[in-house]
Amino acid sequence: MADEDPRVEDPGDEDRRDERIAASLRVEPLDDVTRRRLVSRALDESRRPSHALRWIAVAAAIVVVLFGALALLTAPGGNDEQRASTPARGQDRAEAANPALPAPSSPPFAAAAGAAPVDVGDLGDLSRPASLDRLRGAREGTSADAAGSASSSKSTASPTAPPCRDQLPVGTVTAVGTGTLDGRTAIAVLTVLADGSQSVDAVFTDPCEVRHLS
Amino acid sequence: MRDGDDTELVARASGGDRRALETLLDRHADRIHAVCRRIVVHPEDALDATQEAMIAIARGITRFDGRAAFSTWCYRIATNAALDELRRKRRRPIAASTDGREPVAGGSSPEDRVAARLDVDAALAHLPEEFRVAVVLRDLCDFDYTEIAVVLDVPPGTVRSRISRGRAILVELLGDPARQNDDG
Repeated sequence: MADEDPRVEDPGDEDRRDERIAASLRVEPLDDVTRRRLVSRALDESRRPSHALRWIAVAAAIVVVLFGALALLTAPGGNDEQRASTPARGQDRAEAANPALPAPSSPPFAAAAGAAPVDVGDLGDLSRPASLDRLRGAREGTSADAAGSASSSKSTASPTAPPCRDQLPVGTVTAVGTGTLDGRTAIAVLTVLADGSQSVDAVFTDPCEVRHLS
Repeated sequence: MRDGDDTELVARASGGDRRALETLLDRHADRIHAVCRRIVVHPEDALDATQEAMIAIARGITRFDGRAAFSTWCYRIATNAALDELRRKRRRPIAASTDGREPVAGGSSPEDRVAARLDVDAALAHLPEEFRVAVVLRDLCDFDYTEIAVVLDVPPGTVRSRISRGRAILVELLGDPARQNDDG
């Protein structure tokens, strides 16, 4: 230190308290009002958290708010992504509320439970009852195998809708196949009607024509 | 000294007895104020430092371990509060009525005593802070050199040097303190 004084060789006398200076430094007692005020405020303040604790609490609150905001902004599905996904979720809710509405990406003839119509392939001559039985059997087999197996159903589902749908009976198309009728290529369509009965129809294209088979 | 009496009060205050704490604070208020007054010099700032010291004592009474006298512990807290106050108000000019260079002639009248007090304030204001604090702790608080070294966080040799030089400057500024005090 700069104020270290090596000239102080015999500190014995100087180590003693200097009573003359001590007398000069004496301070008059506080007046009663001031003393009581100081004591009273000290007692009051001691019950409250210190300034340091208050600052720490404020700083901690700010940190928590900042981290919360940061977490909201950076979380997966947060903010923009949430906004972008909202219509899809709303659509899901609409579908759940009204299962009869077809999803835009699902085949137009999907069953009420969400299963697409089964494509049984070439049935041959559609005038033969055996061909129609195959169509009915395909639907029954699918129902029996896995009524709730969407993946199974979709693997055999017809990706395309039969034409002339507006001329088909009102109901759910559950199976389709191809064949010939009167020498013309036709699509056989099995429709489950609202009363539970079935209707098998042949659909011709070009021009559009639907002929009831059974 | 009332340290013997303080022991029981401190124990009760540490246990949450507000009356005991109030008694302790009231009992030591003058000493705490004296330390702050002589270190800070400015009367209003000294009262602020006294208040902060008393709050610190009230809050920290449960941490007082009894290894030193309670009065010594209070002096340490008062010294730290005064030094904090000096740091806060470092740019504030110190109000003094005289420049402290002219020793005040002794006298018994109230006017003479007031003049003498102003003279001490002016002399302390002219004393470098590190010398002033060391002299106050030694001659007013009666701390030994080791205690002062701990409070100021400097080696004991530095404490001795500061006290010696501080006293020399004070004597020069005040003239003969003994005569001044005897007259007052």
